Amino acid sequence: DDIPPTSAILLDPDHCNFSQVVFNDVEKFYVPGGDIICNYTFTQHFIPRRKDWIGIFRVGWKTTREYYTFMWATLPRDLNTESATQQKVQFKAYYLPKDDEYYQFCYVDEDGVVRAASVPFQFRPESED
Amino acid sequence: IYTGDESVASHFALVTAYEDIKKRLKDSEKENSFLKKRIRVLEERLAGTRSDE
Repeated sequence: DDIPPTSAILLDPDHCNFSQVVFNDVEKFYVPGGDIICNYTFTQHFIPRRKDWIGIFRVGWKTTREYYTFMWATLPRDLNTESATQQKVQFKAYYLPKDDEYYQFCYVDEDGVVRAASVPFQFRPESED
Repeated sequence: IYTGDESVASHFALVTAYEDIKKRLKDSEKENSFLKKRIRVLEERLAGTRSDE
């Protein structure tokens, strides 16, 4: 049960709407060796499910199986409250990439459908710009 | 039904990254040309102080 769902590729009329989840405050650079917080927002009609996940992918990925690391999406306790739409997950430093490639967050739902992709970021020391 | 949804998604994700990096490149180039101008001004000023000595 520790493997995120990636295989099912379903015909979903909503699949074209990638913006049902929005990643917020994504940094251009994260300091190597630090944990990172991924903030995201569900849009009004999006219903998150228990096996949705957020992966860190190298830019240029071809299939969702290529995730570098992932976290299960955090679900709001009560979907009907306003605050329910704002969520975050923490990625522990240990599991993060160690190179300076470009990566992005992707939100993948239970059916393996990608619902959102973030702007790219790198892991780089602060001083080096 | 296999529809190539994943390749659509992968393309979308790539476009998202591409557009953002392109914007960063533009910003970097703007900053670069600003720095070049700045350097030119400072070089002129330096040359001026040298001829004053």
